[in-house]
Amino acid sequence: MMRKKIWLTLLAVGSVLALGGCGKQGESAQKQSREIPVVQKDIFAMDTYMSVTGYGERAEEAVAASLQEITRLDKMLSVGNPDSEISVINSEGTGSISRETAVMVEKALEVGERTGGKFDITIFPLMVEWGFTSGEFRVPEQERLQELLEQVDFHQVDFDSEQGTVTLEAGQGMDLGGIAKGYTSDRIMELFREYGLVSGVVTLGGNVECFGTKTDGSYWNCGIRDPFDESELLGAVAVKDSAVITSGAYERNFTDEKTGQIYHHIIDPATGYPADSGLVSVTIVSKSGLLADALSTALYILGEEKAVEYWRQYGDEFDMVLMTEDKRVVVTEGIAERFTSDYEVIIAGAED
Amino acid sequence: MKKKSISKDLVLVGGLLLAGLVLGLVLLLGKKTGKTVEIRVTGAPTRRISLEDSGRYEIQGLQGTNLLVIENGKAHMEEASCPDGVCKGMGEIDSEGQSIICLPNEIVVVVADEKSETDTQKIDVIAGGKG
Repeated sequence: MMRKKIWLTLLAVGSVLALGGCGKQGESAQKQSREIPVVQKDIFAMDTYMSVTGYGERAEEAVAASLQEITRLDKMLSVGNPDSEISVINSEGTGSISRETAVMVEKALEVGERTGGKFDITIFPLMVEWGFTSGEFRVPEQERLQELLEQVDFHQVDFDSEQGTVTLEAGQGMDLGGIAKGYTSDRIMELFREYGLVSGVVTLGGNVECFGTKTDGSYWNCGIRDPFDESELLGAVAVKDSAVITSGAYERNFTDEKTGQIYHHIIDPATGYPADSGLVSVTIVSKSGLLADALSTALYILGEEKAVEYWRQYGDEFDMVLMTEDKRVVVTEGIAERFTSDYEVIIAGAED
Repeated sequence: MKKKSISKDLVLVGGLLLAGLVLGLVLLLGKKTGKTVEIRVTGAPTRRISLEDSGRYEIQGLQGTNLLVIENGKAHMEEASCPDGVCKGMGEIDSEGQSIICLPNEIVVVVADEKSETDTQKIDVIAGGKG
């Protein structure tokens, strides 16, 4: 039942919500006159397609504020905007950052530390070299990668949280693209709270974060795309007040025309090449979108065994769903009861 | 006489069955899928076109014009004004919820089906995408 056309649901939800949000109220408004107002709006930002849905008396204001927030953060964080805080640091080697950026840098460094450097904000020059930032993809020469790798080390980033400054070593570049969307969806949840919404959900280019439950009190059933078939789900997890963020090799990749080899965007900071850890999809479920965004990347690179080990240590902060190359689905016990799948599911517990 | 009337009945029954079958086939084959594509530009729905209305449709996007072609009940992006042309590589769409997205022109084309509302009970939102 799960592996049916997922899309129909996504879109049906979209269209049903869109009807509510676009003023085409007519008969549906009469029929549901006692329903909670719903507003849904889409926006293109951070190089992707985003959708914000809020339920509540002040949904209109809350969603409008959310779109403004997305635009503001995009401008502040984008490496494509030469005036952004990050661009200034990249071009000058040093710069001051806002309190918000500091929160992101702090989390990024923490996840980097805890995962043995699998999450590294200084991977940026490699992303540029592979063309993942511009869309002009190419397979770099190995020597070139080695040369660039020497500068990839977040330990060398001098981050002064008191002063709010970041200083890079010569040749280094940084990017918060790997966590900016997670931070943004967290911010939207805060806005929803400020405006007193009762329910809401955002999808920022495949990153999901849910506010509260659905208006009927039931949990949001969040499908997770099947990496082996774009029109199917590998499963679904029922959540409330949670981010559900997936990293998959199928997201941003290109095929080398000469060799037919596919290269994806999750670059292992240890090798400079796309991670080849045996995992094809990692989904993190957490109260924090920021953490979930960073972990989905880091644990993808770590691979199944180490990801489970990591969860055993820090599992109070998140749960996860892994899918391996050989089509095994591993889910951690914190969400096992709320997870459904047509695949055979292995439950990872606190003990081996 | 009796024999004749039986065979007449048989003819009648047979004829009715045949007529029913033909009618059924006509209804089945001629059944409208009810699928449409919804076109959104910069996030706002601009129009809906039935997948049965084959033709070439120009879509005015943020920076230029794309050409959507509908034929054989499927839609694909034939031309795009943007340099990367990623959306042209997204292939044909005809299942509910499938989409073609052109980031530079902020155009989204999604297959919609009014009848799929019941399925919204099961999945509310999808994680993981072209992200």
